[in-house]
Amino acid sequence: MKDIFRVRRMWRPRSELKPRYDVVIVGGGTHGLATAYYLAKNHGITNVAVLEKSYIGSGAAGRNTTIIRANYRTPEGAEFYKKSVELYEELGADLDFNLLFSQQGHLTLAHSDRGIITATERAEVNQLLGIDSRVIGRDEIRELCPEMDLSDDVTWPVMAALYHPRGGIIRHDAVVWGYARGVDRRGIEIHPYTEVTGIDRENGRVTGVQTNRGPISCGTVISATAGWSTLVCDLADVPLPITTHILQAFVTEPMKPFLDVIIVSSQMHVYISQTDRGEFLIGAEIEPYTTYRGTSTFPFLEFAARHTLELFPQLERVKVLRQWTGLCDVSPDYSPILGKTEVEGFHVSAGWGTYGFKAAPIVGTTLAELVATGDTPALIQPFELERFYTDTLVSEVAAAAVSH
Amino acid sequence: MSLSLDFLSPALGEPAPRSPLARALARSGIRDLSLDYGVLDARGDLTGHPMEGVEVVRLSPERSFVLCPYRDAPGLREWLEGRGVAAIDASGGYAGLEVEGEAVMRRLTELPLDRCPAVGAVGHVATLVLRDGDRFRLFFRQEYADYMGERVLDALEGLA
Amino acid sequence: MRLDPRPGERIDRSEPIRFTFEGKLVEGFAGDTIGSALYAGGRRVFSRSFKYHRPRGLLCCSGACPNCMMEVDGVPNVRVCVAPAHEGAVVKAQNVRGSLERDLMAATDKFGGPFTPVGFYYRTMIRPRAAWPLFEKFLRSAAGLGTIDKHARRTGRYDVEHRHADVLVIGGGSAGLEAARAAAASGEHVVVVDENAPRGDAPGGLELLAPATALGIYEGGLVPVAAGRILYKVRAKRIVVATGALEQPVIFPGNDLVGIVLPEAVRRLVHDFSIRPGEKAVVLAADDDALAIADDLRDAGTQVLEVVDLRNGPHRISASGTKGRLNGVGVEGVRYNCDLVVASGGRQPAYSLLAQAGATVAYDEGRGVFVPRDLPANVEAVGSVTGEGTGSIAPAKTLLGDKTFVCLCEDVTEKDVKRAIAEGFDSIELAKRYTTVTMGPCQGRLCHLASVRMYARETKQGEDAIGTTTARPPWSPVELGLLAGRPHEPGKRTSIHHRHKEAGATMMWTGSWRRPHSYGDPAAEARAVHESAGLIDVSTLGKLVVRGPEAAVFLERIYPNRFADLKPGRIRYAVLGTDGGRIMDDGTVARIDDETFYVTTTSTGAEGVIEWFEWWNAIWKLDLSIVDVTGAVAAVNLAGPQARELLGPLTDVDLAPDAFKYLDAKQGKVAGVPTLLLRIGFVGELGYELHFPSPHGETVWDALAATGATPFGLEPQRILRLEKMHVLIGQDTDSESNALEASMPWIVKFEKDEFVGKWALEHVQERGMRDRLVGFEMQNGSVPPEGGAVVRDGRLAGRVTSARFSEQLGRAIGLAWVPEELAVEDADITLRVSAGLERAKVRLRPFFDPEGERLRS
Repeated sequence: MKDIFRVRRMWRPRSELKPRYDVVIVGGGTHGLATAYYLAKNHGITNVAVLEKSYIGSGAAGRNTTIIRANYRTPEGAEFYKKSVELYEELGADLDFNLLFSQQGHLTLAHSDRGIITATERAEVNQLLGIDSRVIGRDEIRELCPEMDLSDDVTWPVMAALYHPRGGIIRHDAVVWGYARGVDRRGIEIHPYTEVTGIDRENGRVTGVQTNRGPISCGTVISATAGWSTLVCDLADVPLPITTHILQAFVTEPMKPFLDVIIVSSQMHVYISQTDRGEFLIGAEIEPYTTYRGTSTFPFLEFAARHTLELFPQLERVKVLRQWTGLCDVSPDYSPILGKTEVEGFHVSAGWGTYGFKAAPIVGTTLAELVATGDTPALIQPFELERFYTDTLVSEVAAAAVSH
Repeated sequence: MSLSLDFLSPALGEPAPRSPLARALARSGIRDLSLDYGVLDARGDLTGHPMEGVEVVRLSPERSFVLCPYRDAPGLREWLEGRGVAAIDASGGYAGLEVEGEAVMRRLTELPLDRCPAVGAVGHVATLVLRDGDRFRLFFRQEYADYMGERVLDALEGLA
Repeated sequence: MRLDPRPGERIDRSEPIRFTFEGKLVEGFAGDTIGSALYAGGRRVFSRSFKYHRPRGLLCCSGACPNCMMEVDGVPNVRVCVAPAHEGAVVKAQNVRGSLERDLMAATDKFGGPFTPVGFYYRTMIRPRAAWPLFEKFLRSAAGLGTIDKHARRTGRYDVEHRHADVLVIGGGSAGLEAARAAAASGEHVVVVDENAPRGDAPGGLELLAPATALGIYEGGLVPVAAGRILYKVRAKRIVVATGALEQPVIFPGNDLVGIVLPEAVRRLVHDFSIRPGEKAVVLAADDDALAIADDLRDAGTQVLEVVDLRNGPHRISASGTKGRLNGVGVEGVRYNCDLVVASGGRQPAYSLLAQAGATVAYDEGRGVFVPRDLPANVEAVGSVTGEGTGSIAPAKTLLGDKTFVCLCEDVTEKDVKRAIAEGFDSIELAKRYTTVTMGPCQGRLCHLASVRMYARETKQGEDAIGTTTARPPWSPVELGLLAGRPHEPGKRTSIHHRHKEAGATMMWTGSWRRPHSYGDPAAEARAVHESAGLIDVSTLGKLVVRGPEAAVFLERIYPNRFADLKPGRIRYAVLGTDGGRIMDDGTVARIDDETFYVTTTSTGAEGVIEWFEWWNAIWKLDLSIVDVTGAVAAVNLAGPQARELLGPLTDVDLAPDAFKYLDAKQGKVAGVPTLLLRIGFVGELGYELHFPSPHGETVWDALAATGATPFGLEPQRILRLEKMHVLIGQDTDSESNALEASMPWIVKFEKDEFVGKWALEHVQERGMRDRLVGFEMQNGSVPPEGGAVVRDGRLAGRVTSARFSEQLGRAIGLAWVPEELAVEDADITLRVSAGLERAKVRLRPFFDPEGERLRS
């Protein structure tokens, strides 16, 4: 409690770069900071620099729509995200920072037989792994969300839903700041406004990085740069089977509590939640075209608004306050690319599509373990880049249904 | 007996064809063009072919839509094929209607109306728009007929 | 309070308007806003603030700030200062418990203030974790402004209207109108957008949209303009931004008290609504325009106690009040008792639209404001938005005080900002996220400059080094209803759709198509197909004509199967693969003649297949054309042992078994309609798929139905095809399935030199099968869920993709992916059914008529 009154720095001001670190992490978002945090906390590795080309949390970490859930389709994915949710549940206490984790429950609507099959697939996989997740009918949906239009008199009547009670939303910036504070207090350096311009190698091994503030030598480099992954990995001549797309979202003016559960409709390409501040946070699917240009589009607003009102006609007069975009690095099977690459000492966290933020704590713990032990933890072995050479993809894409 | 693409030509049918817009536009007063025009999807060089009563809308250097009287489509197709133009009778694939006035068009499409003929989204559906003075002829895929009929009537209602 | 009639006033005193506020009658005139009528009636407190519930009154009176947001006719967050008053309006205060004057939540200000510094919630309520849901509930209920009526429905209509112009001028002030007139004079079509309702006539020769707000300049020069219930989407060759400049508040202790206003509020109250804004006033201003407000005040009968020119160096300013209402202001130690302070820190260019369009924003040291630079092509700026005639200063000396507000929307004080900086949030973007300054409903209009300036001062850097935060659209908050427009969604219907409806079919979505699920009794419909004949509308199948000298070569290359050797008049099943060897779609290919193929695809796959074909042929450049005839052709499948005899009388085609064999294509007339007849059998019985022009859909359907064939829907079709183990692409396969593991090795012809995805399928062959799609038969009658798990040793070993009870077979059957070693006839597998485990036997051959005798009969 006393912490409220005391003005205490969250982190030290940026220092000069040292000529050498044991580990350099490229990207000061949730993945980079979490990895640094667990390197220090779990393995005592603190001669680490986190390099961020802008301010911390400026990329996907600060632009995502903050949904945390574990109800994935593949056993590999579900098991991985289950751990992530568990870590998120403890994270506030661990970081001593309230992340405003609102585990209000998560409903993925099914509007077709195919949608119900996909929901069932997920529920079955989840239940076998002990994840609270089940397919519910309209009556139970109505209890959870009496405000939603469940009539048949709409374009896409709601037929059923996948219900995941522990799914929730969190304050994304707080995750960034909490980790950053934890990282800083353990002696790791965070260098905002420090851009990596080259990755040095000798005999197939990483030896250092070039930055806009000079060179650094190091034995391990981790790229955790979301939408920019392909560009950063290019610096190490590691090709990734990734395309970059934009994902858009908007918030409304804050309103009194109205919606206490997260609503996702893949068929309508829209998802809706209400934050603890009262804003409705509404997003859609990734745009089908590839780009690094994060320009917001107007058709997105129109489309998302139209579909939002199909579900919640009561929001007709609620006003949109601001829209933004984020870059998503999409892999062919919609599963991440995590761990070692063919360049020794160069590890990646990439290909997250729209799922990266949800994974931050588990990415951090497993990558930290990889760096500390040299071995890929079993939990993330299915996600190695190698799978594209051995044809062992982990498909999070149900054939007809779209993601989220 | 060898096969042909006759099964694409509604005009070769003995019973009367039915317009996909018949229900949507019933009693609306909007002119239904679906059974007035035959549509050929043609690839090849159409320049230099004198075709009376026929409108050619070029979609690309290679591809054109050829509009002709409904019953003439099979004959015209044969005539074109004889001249080396690959043409498919797409008459059954398109519904058409006519609306009057820029006002309603502005409610339906972002196409610049001073640059017709044009192809673009009208009420979210890909449409060929032809303009004659203040009258606009719209041709779109017949499976959207109910939707488009409803959409156009709704736009008119919004202006009333 | 209302002054005598004045020239130019916007109210029409001959037309009184009456509405209620909190149940009490309020009287105004036509031309009043709800805000002006309330003000004229003596109301000063208009809202309670977001966090501390402090009383707030009119500030900008121009729709920019959050201070006058109320609920009007059930609509929350209405800025009543610009909302026209209308007869019978029901106006209520929002975000208060009690009344505006006595808000119970104001305790958060009195007692909570010191306990709720910026970001307090990040540091508290962490333990015990079990208590967090309670804390959260409280936080949630305290947040938010207006209340949404849970029972509200859509009201009235919103429309979109498209506009094209040579020139779009945004802002109808003097600079904007001048630019507009000049363009119009040279013959250009000019559209002018202005936020205020026009005074008198629209300017000659110009198209005026007003009152209307430009929401942003989007890609392609699209400018959406919100005008009541119409959204104009304007596209112009040239965009002229004349959005002017925004008066900036002065930051001093007590600066949020009710009675402290911007000059524009005085201008509007006096000139538009003929209201005396206050009795005794002090003017604090940093430019000549604002200083001149003193004259307007005197004109309205307000006693002006002092006019302070803030340009004469920083001043020590502090305001005081009772119950949130101003009672005096101190300037350099001199106290003035007054009920009105008109304060302006100068004017900041309203550059947001330009920044969204791609302009950079730089700090103009001389003027003390941010100005737009490097405008994108076809976008111009005129007037004060360029910085011309604007200027701002930091007029107040730092005075310690708790209630010095930087951001009124979010209740962020100077102390909060300083604290954020001290905590290490030392970039403006970080600070914005931490303090939420500029993130409220005013979109930073009144707080951005002040917060940047505070940052510059605290971090001892220049404003230019601090920079601005990203300008995010929309420029003004816009209703979801307006963005949504009309609620119609394009849906596809077959030419026979209405016949299904008339027959009482329940309709369902298949992609964007509407299709009959069944006509009421799926089992009976399936039985009819087995016993006599059934009729199903399959017009939704994708249909392509691939035609040209190299059409056969093309199909040979794109499909894993062979087509070059397909004889005219014959049909072959076709599975399309990706370049990664995954199954993409399936259908049939019928050869019409040497150069012409008729290709069908799945109902949802048509667009993808066409794109795929065109994409590959853009590479191969083979001499052929690909024409989509999906909608041009209706298709009906007549299937069942009696199909031949029922169809016979309707057609001139010889249906004799040896004349028209399984997988033959014939042409002829059916019910007088030219038809392509394909003898194929998805549902496992003798069947004819009839393809004919869509405009004859109902005619042919009616003729076939009149023979006594039973219409059947998708649900019975699913049972029938499952009995035959026919795969549904997209249901039985997913994005990773390949034809080998999907148990269709016979469609892959490795002996071909090349085909799309060959290398990947060779790789699968090399590495060996991992999983296989097989049939299964339940050992008891229970039907596992589609999507259900195949379990081995308590772990997921596979998935059930299809399952139904077959009345014909008297048992539950299905398809499932299982590990390769279980893909043997009679193998035992365990399936999850209602969270319990049930046993099933693997089946590799069709459940029904495995030899296909009925199909070929």
